[in-house]
Amino acid sequence: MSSARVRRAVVFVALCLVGVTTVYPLIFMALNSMRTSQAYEVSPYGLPTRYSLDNFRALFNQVPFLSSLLHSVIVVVPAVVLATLFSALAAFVFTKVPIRLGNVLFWVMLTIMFMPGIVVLIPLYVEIAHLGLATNFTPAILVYTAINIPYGTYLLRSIFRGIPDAVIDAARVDGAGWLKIFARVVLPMGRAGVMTVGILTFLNIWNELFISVVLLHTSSTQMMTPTLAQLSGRYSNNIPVIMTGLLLGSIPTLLVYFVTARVFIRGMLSGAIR
Amino acid sequence: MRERKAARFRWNLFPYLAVLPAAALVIILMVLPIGETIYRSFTNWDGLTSNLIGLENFRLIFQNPVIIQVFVNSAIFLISVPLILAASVVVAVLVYERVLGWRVFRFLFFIPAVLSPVIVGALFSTFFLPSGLVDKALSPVGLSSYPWLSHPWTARAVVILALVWTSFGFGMVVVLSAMSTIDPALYDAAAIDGASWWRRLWSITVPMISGSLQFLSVINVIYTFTSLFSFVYVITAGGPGFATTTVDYFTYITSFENGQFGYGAALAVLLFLVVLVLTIVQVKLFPRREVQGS
Amino acid sequence: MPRRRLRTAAAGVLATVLVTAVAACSSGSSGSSGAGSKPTITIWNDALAVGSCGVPAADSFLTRGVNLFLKTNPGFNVKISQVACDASPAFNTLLKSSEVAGTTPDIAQLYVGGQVIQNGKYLVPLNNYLSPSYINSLTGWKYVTDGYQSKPNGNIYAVPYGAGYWYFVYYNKALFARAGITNPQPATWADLIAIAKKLKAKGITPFDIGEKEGYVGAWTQDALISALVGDAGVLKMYSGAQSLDSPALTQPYQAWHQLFADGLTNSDAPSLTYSSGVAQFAAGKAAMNMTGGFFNSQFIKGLGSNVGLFPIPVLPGSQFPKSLSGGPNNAYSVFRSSKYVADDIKLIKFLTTLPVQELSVNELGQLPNNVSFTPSAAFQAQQPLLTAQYKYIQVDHYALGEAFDNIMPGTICSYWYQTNSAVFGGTLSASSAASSMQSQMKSYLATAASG
Repeated sequence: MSSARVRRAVVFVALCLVGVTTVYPLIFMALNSMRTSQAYEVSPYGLPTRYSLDNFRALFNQVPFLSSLLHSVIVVVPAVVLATLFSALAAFVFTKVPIRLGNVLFWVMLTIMFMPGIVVLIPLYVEIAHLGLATNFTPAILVYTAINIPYGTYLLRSIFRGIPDAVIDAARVDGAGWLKIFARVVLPMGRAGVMTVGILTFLNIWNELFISVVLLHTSSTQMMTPTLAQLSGRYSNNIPVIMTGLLLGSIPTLLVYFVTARVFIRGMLSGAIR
Repeated sequence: MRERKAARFRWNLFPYLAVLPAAALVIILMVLPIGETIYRSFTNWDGLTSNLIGLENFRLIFQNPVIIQVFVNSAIFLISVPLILAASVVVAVLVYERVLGWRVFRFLFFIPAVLSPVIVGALFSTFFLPSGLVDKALSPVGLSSYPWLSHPWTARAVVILALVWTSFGFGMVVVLSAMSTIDPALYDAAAIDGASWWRRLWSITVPMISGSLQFLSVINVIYTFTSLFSFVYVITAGGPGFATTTVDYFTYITSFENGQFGYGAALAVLLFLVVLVLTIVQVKLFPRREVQGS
Repeated sequence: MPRRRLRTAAAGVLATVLVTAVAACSSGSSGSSGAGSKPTITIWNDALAVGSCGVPAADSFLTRGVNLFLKTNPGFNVKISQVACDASPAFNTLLKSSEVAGTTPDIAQLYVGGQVIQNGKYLVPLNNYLSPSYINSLTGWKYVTDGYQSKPNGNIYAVPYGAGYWYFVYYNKALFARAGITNPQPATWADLIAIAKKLKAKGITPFDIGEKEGYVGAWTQDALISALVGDAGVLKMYSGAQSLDSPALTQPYQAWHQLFADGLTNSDAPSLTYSSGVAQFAAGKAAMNMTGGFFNSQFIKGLGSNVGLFPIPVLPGSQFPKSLSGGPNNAYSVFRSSKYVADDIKLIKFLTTLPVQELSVNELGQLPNNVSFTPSAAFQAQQPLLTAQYKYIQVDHYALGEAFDNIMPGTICSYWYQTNSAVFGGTLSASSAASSMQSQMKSYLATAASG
């Protein structure tokens, strides 16, 4: 066998090993969601003996899954749309519109991107409480939007840079205003990149714990991720139930990923993120 | 005449209007609060009343042995960064070979990055519980019944493992994207010159992706100091003792659980300074090699 | 083509605006009473404080007591919000944020001492609502009064509930017998260690402890601290007159650490939850555990008559060599924001009557704090563990010390729990822990000075 072939075989085996470590935890979750606690104690590796939905039923009765899912949707969807839209507008101005203040504002944003969330959360938390908005979703939506704008702008800036100026100039010559150029030229051309940024933002916000725990900590407004975080505390002795909860909790983001994978990966590989 | 003026007016206003929402949100919800945090760090704020107490918070912070340990913990978790970079490069190089099913692998490897750290953390902590997955796997070797989460270094190792597992997928994609800008002709030329696969990796690939590596390094260092909260919250609750308590977790406890907002603000300011310094150091120390076309 | 995309984008923005509007108008499913219906009194209940862990909220004495009240006082709805046991620190956060936001409940069940006093400025002083005869009918007022009764006519911020918990070593008689020990009564900590080593030599795990949260260390060190310096000593630390960086803290830390370092406990103790430790002891896996009466019914269920108790022994140099630590644990407070203060107090008074308190004995594992209570023979038969405790107090006249974490401010206690876990596992030295505690105390005193 030629050395190239050997190498390809080795690579394939290595990839398979990595693949196993990636996928096995998910399979573990899924299998154990249908087992009982006693069965798990005997052997964590075992297969479920019956396809029982007991864990699911117990979980739904005791943990507010659906309501926290709803709360997450209420907060995350607007935040993603707004953050992506505003970032796109800002990135467009920074790259294609000849304007002076762009650079200063951009560097300010970059510095903020590196900011630990806690630095802003302490005063925001108190101000929001003082305004009586502690059980309102709007502050959380706006905070999530604001926090994701610097990163989104940074990414979209390099994406829009990739759009040739010639196209913009041509549109200008045709008499199009900036807004039209943005909506009809830049957005469609950078569509893959914008979608990718949108999905990244979605993942960032949906999976985030700190802000959601601090800003929406009452049981009437709790989001999905904090609900999941409490599972291992509440059911510390019943691993299969925890696995069931984690499995259910994984579904939203996995679903989004599966549906958008092709566009998303293409967007990521297009060189925007570097 | 008026039409042209109107058109000019419109496009002069557009940039400002376009940037306005982003700028407004960022200024109101981020820049101003940063200012307030800095101010409050010099006070004894408890959420309602606030008096200036100068540097007292900072003095108390530096006198507290636990806080030194907490900053050291965050520094220890930096071990994960080179591990993540190495894993990302290795996996990217493997996928780049384009063997059978490489697209499937690429798709799979990003899945951990899609899951919440809360889910990943809970999974890993379950694996390492006594008589859990890892325990049963190691029992033939006789290493069973080891309480991974009860000893500081192994507890940290579990957190680092979870962190690497979550992050290598994103890193892989970034490296792959950088590798796609490398002209394959370079590899062919080097192969003709007799360079081995290993040599090609280090002489061609790594330098060309140095920009991405710097990006990943900066992002992951920041993540270590600012976003391990979820992992710590779920896997160890900061324990055993304070062994896995990171700075942001400790600040959370002090501010939100104990109501010492002035003290928490001072901690947050220190954290911000540390992150800023580390970022500047990294950017200065590991310059990107700007290659034409990238 | 572009026009369609623009339309989709517009639809997306419209949907966002709609959702945002809905979100802005809806404030979650908060319990706002509808206009015209009966007024609702909200009670926030921390299950851990009450010892109601494991009891479903519907069966809790509180629910039953409230239902009894509503039978004779039907003009109200009462909404009980019960926090899960492992969410005790979260309860603190919730209280704090509700105070800042102004969304405090009508009644909250708080820990006596630090937690009550620290929240004092949001609570109704009850002095004018409580007659002297009522006050004299219950015990335990010292630590719910401002200044801990060091000055006269301090504000009373809460009504104490239950005689409290006293921290003991619970032991498994059968396992002890296997090591040849009957009726253990160690007088000093060194004696206890000797007993533990004897058990270990026979292959029995001496202690089963879950020290992840640091509560077991708290219960144990409460006893050690009370024996060393008594209430007077702890009150000095509370007022800042005595530094926390002193032997009163470092000696107990050191003894606590030694327990783990000498291998006298289960090896996964630092990361095991306290409830798991309790469950393991109740399942007979180890010889001893240290806690208060919270888990009496769990122990009886698991071990039956096989479980006994003895006081936590003392360290050398203790001022009170025969003492118990603990005291009244929970209390009910009324928030100033409540619109129904008089009715809240009526409800609380009802809950403290002897019949309702007797309902709670099995669930809470503590005796009623009604002065008129004396345990009948039937009661003694039903509650062997409580009766044994009672004997130490009423018959053997052990000195009673108020627990360190009943006196100290709530934030200091929370911090203390974490240091306990760290010192136990050996990741923090006793002296570093004490100096860290002092640093936190100074920060607290600086914050408290403003309010």
